[in-house]
Amino acid sequence: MLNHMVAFAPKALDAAFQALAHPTRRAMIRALSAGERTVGELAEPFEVSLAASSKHIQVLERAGLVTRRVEGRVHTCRLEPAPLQAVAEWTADYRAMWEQQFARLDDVLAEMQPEKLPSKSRRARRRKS
Amino acid sequence: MSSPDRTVQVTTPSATEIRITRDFAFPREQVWRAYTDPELVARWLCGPEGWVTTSCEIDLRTDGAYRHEWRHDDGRQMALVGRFLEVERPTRMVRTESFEFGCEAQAGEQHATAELLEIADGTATRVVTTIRFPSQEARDATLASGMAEGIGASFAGLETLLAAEAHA
Repeated sequence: MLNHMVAFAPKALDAAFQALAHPTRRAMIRALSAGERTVGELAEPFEVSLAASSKHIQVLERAGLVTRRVEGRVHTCRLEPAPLQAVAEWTADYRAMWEQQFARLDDVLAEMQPEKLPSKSRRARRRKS
Repeated sequence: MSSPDRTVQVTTPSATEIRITRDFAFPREQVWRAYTDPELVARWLCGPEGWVTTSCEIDLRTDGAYRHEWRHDDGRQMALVGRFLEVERPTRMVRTESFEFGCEAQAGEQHATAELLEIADGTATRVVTTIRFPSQEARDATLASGMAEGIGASFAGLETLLAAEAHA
């Protein structure tokens, strides 16, 4: 329930977007979407220091996207879905508008006669209905 | 080599931008014409749900003006207006965009770039539209517009976004 409350708060959305606004963090999220990873495993693909990678993981944790458990010296990270769900829902309708327009553009393109010559005039034209 | 992907990718490359990417299984010249001929544009640029195009004018040249008008079922009118900053057939167009509701111009102007890239050996076209807003707040408000309440949780949108990263 706490995750649900976090997901719909504007500040939580800010934190989720900020967390996503870096390619390294997005790559880490993708890795975690396949399963848990230790901090070392998350940092491994990147050519920066472990400290730099740890900072990225902390940003993800503060956004509620990642939780970690500690067993001895091993820190294992897990992806938490709620903030991603909030982001996905939030973008869904804007994308839906474009999907609808582009589906109609597909239909218009399919109906056009392919012309070889760029013959159209560039002057202003008007269509009223 | 990429093949046409008809899913729409919506990404946020910076704090003030939205990027919309979509492939079309048609040659670039044809997509350019569908994007710039007002008779054709009027047939697909339908706007959000419930709005119908009532007129479309395009003067496709640097400093040329364009105007799309829509009407809603409930009688409201809306227009998207602006001028072209760059026109490079058939690869690129840059234009300003602002909205008018009824007779009122809405504050704030967007800057939109559409790039048309040939893919699949020229048999298909990738259109990348990048819209820059005057502020992060304006960008976020646009992304949130039209959001219905109570939609069930779905990862699909974000998966698409992250998958697009992998192909970038």
